[in-house]
Amino acid sequence: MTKQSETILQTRNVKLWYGDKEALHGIDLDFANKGITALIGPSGSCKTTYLRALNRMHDLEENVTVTGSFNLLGKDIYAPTTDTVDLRKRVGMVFQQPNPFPFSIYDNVAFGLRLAGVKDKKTLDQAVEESLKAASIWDEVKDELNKSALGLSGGQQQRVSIARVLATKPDVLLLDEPTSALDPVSSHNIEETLLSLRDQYAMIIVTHSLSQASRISDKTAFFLSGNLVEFGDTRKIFLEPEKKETADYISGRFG
Amino acid sequence: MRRLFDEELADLDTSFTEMGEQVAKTIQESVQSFIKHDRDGAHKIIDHDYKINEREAALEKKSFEMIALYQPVTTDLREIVTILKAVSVLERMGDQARNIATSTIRVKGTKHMKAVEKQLGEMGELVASMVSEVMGYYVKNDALGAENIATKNHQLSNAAAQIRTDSVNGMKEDSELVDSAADYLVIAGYIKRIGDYTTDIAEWIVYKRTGKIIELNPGYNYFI
Amino acid sequence: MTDKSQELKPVSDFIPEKAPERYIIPMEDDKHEIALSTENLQVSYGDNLSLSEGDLRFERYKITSLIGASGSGKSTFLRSLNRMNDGVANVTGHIWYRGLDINSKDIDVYEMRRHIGMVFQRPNPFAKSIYDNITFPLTRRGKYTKAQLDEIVETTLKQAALWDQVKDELNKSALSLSGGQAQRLVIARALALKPDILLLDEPSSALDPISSAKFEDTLLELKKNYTIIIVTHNMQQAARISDYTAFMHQGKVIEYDLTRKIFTRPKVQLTNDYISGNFG
Repeated sequence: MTKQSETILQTRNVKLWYGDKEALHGIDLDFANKGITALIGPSGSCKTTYLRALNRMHDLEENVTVTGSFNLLGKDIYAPTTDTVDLRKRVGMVFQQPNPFPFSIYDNVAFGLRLAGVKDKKTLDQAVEESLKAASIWDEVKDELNKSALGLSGGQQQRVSIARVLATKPDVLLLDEPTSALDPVSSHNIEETLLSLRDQYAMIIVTHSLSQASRISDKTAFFLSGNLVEFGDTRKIFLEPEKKETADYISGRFG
Repeated sequence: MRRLFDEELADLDTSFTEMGEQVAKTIQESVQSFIKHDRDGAHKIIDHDYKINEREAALEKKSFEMIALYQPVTTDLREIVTILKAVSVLERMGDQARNIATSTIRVKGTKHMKAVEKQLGEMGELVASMVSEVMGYYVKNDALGAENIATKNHQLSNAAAQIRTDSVNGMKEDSELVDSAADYLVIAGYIKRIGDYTTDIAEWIVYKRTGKIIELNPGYNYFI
Repeated sequence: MTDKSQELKPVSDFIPEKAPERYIIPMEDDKHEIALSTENLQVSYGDNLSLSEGDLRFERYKITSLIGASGSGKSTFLRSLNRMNDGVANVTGHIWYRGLDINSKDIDVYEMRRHIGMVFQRPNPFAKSIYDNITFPLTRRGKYTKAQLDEIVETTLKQAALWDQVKDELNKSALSLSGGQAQRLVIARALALKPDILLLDEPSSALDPISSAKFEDTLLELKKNYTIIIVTHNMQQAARISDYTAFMHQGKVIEYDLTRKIFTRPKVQLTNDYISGNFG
C-alpha cells in the first residue's frame, strides 16, 4: 500500500464540452505517485472521457473543448508549450483492445524510445528486457523477441502493450478497460502485472468490472453522468460508501 | 489478485489461531484462579477481556472486507465463513472465562470441598486443552480430528455431572458448604458451556473441509 | 441425560477418500426433463482434436452456464449444439433433441436452428429498422399478415424487456440503439423464430454493468419458457443466473453440477482453483 505518497497529478474543475454540450462537469481529483486508482461508473458516466483528457487524447477530436487545471508534477498538461508527444510518453495509455504494431515484439517495445531518438543497441536491449520483465512477460517471449507481436495471445499482446508504455519510463499509466477483451486467465495475468507495478507507478484504470476495481485498486472514483460522485479508499467505497448512488451502483442496484 | 488475497487470508488465519491460543490460556487461568481463590488473578482476567473482544471485532471487520473486496467462493469462502463464525464462539468462551473470574471475586464460602475443586481444576485443564486442540485441527484442516472434540466433550459432561452429584451431596451433609457448592455448580456449568462451544468450532472445521454443515454436539441441553 | 451421539453420522461419511479428476452429474432420474443432451461429442479441426468427452444433459427451462478459460472448448461446444461448426470443423457423436440426433446428416439444419437459436457476443442487428430486424428472418421463410407480424414484434420485444423503450420508434434504425438495447433486440429476433432452446455466446461481455444486469433479469424471465445455455467469462454472472454450471478445461468437461454446488463445494480441485481465480 502507498501510505506516504505524494501527489503526482492533480486536476481541478475539469470540464469538457462536445460542441456546446457539457459532458464533464468539473472534476477535482488527486492521484498519488504510486498505486492504482480505479475509475468506475456506468456507460455515459464519462469516466473514459476524463481518462482520455489526462493525456490530451481529445486534442485529436474536433469540436471538443477541455477546461480546468491539470497539474502534472508542477506543470500544466494543457499549457500551449506542452509537447504532446513528450506528454504521452510521461502519461502513457494502454487501450481496451491490445494494439501491438505489426512488427516484432522487440520493435514494439523499442518503438517509443526510437521515436525519442535512442539508437544505441545496448541501451535499447536493456530497456526492452527491463520493460518486458516489468510487464511480466519476459519469460514467455525472451526467446522469440524477433517474432511478430501479432502472433501472441490477446493477454500476451496486452502485456506487450504495457511493456511498450513502460519502456518510455512514464510517470503515470492510464489503462482503458485493459482486460475487458480478455478471458479470466489472461485478465488475471494482467491484474498480477498491475499489482507488481503499483509500488513504482501511478496507475489510473477505467474498468467496468467492479470486482476488478475492488480487487486491485487502492483508490476508487465513482463517476455518474459526468460528475465525480465519490472518491476515496477502495475499502471505504466498497464497504461504507457515503453516497447512496455509489452504494446502489456497486451493489448492482441500478433502479 | 491471488497473491494479495492469499497474503491477506494467511494473515487472517494467523490472527484467528492466535486468538484461539489467547482464549485457551484465559480459560485455563480463570479456572486456576478460582480453585486457588486468587482474586488478583481473577481481576486481571476481567481487565484483559477487552483484548479478546477487540480481536473478535478486528477479525470480523477484516472478514467483511475480504468478502466485499474479493468475493471469494468455495474453499476460500468457507475458510472466511469458518473464521467469522468461530471468532464469535471464541469470544463467547472468553465471556465464560470472565464469568468464572467474576465468581472467583464474589466467592463467599469459607469452607471448601477439596476433592471437587481438584475435579474442577481438571475440567478446566481438559477444556483449555480442547480449545488448543480444536485450533490445531483448524490449522491442519483436520475434520476427522475435529470429531475427537465431541468425544472429549462427552467426558467433560460426565465430569460436570459428577461435580453436580458431589456438590449436592455435600450441601445435604453440611450446610456450611452451601455457598461454595453453589459456586461449584455454576463454575462447572460455565466450563461445560465452553466445552459445547469447542464442538461448535469443530463443526465449522468440518464445514470448512467438506462444505457440509453437521451436528457434532448431541444436544445436552442441561446447564449442568 | 440422553445421548443422541448414536444418531449422528460420522464425519468420515462427508469426506471423499480422494478428490475425483472429473465429476459429471448424471441427471438420469425422471425428475429432470432433458431438453438437449450430447453423447460422445468430438470436435476436430483437421487432425486437431479440440473437444472430446463430455456427455452433458441440459434440463428444460433451466439456465446452464459453460465456463472455462479461453481455449477450453466451451464456445466450440456451444456452437456445435446447433451445428454452427458445420464446414468449419468435423463434429462426430450425437446431439439428442426430442429423440432426434440433430448431428446426423439428414437433419435440416435451418429448420433445426429455428428450434435451437444462437445469440452472439457482439450484438449484431441488421442495418434495418427495429421492426424489420425482428420480422425479416420470418418473412424470408413464411407468409405472415401484418397483424401477425405486429403481434410477434410486440411479444418478443416485451419478452426481451425492450418494448417500453422502443415501442414509439419501431421504424428507427436498429443501429441507433445502445449496446445493451441492441443485445436485447437480437434476443428478440432470436425469440421471433419461437425457439425451444437459446444458445448464448458471451452475450453480455460487451455490456456495461447496468446493461448487463438488465440483460440478466431478461434471461431469468425468459427461462420460464426457454431452455438457456450460456457461455460466459464472467463467473459471477454464472453464479448469479444459472441453475447448472459446467466447467471445461482443455476440451473436456471437468465438472458439471448444480451451480450452487460448483460455487460452494466443487468436487474437483481444478474447478475449485479456476473459480477461485487461482490460475497459477
